[in-house]
Amino acid sequence: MRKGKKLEKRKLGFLLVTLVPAFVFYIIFTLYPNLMSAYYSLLEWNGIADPKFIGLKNFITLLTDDFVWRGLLHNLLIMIVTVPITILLALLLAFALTNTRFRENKFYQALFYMPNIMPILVVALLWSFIYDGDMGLLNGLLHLVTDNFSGKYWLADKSTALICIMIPMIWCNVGFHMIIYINAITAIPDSLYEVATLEGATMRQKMWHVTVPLIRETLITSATFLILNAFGNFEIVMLMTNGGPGGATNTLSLYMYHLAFGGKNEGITSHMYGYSSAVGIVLTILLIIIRFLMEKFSSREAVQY
Amino acid sequence: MNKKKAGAGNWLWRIGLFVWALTVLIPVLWIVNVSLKTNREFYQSVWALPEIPQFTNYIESWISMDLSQAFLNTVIYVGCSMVIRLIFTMMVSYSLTRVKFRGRKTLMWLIMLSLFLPGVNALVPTYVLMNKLHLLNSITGLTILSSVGINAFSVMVLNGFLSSIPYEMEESAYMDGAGYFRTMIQIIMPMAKPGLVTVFVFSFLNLYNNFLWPFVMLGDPKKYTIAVKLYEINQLMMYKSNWVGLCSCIVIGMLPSVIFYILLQKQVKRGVTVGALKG
Repeated sequence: MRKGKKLEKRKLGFLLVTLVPAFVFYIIFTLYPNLMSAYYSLLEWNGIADPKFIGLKNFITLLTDDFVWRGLLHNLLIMIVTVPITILLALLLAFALTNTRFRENKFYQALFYMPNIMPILVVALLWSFIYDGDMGLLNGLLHLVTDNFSGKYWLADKSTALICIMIPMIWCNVGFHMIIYINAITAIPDSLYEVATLEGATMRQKMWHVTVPLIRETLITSATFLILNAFGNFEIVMLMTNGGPGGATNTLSLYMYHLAFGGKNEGITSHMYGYSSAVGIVLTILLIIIRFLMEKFSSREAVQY
Repeated sequence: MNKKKAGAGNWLWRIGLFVWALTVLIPVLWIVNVSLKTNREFYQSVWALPEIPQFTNYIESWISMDLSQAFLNTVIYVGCSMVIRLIFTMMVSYSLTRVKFRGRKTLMWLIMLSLFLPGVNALVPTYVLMNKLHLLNSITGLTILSSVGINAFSVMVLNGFLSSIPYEMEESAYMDGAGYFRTMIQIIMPMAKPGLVTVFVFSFLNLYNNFLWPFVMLGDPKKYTIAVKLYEINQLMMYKSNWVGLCSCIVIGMLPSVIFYILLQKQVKRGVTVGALKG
């Protein structure tokens, strides 16, 4: 009996040491800031003067703020373009790598993931260089075909800037999702493919009628990731165009960042912590709704083999 | 693996794979190529290879941009953060997967919560908090912010490995009179080594590639990590039109990640696999 009590005591001590500091810091550095952003959104505060409680006024301002709506529009465009293309490319590559046996496949798998591990700044600078008007790779390539675009600065043009920042987003995400799909595809029993082969299915039919339905869950999870990324991640945009030219690539999260920390964005004079947090809260609610919808969508029917 | 016979028509897939390989490789090789040119050669042609590869570009950039300081900062920040994060991850993951107690599920839920939160909205409050704690503009502050507490992804990855170890291991250890700490460190952790390595690798990539927080927090150029330093260099070189110098800095900046990845590919892939299961 006494021995059991001693053990219990030891266990408690162990749990206290291993869990309490970790959770205390976790609450301070992770949960508390998230909670506080909701409170900040109700303030008028520039970070220096005393904060003033103004209720929902920030959210009312927000409704008529053109920058918010334009940012949202750009986020939606980024989502509509990058998410399907990333998924399709990753799926095609994953399917190709698992269903063929070329000598180079192993090398490819490692290579395709590489853009994902590069520092975001390196990716941004690399692509800024590619789009450069005079000595950029893109114009160098186009020059082989036509002279129409020589000297065109792709990121400085309002009509092309947004699409230009989407390409590096796709470029560095494809590899990650490809690896996820490869793992999902590998888990599909071989017999299913054999049946398909016996029935004379082509590679394309196998992909659409065997692979895709069976890894549906994985596809939806990865779509959720990508959508969250399309809204939440603003580093690439910040580093490549900082929202310009003339706000043509400004996104909601970048606007939020500029409101808080300043920047070249039009109409922002000082730190607006309160208003910035309000934009952040809108973004958060949006992302939680998306996540919720995706989860609902994915659990509607589970596929079994 | 679905090992299918390479039938006719497969060449189309092969070409597709090759094209994507080029898409990944060409931009990177192109930057490396530029970084080895002279500025004059750079303006002559987009494509041409340098007449004599100018490896001195790297040395010049390193010295003139004082990259030593930035690398030293990065090593301190990344190194300390990795170790601290690993210790926290180990303790939390071990207690939550291998010690039975009430409230375990609730704690796990609390950790998963941070994966659900988008995080962008926490930017301002975190900044204000760090300011109040007088931890802005310091490597120590940056390290604390990136390491103490719980990194949900790391815990999830390690949980996956720990829960696959048979529970008899502990029982026999306790029988022999070993304490909890000894059991954790000397018996279970060696068995979870692949998991620890995976956490380690991911932490490295995640911390080394981190741009936003160092950028927001560090104001003093002497304290810049390599990522922020590269940003500063980019601004500077644009004025000077020293593109070759900029490219050599970009190459230097990506080398640690790329080398780390090439050496530890297997662990990276495993991390993606384990992490993706839960999402």
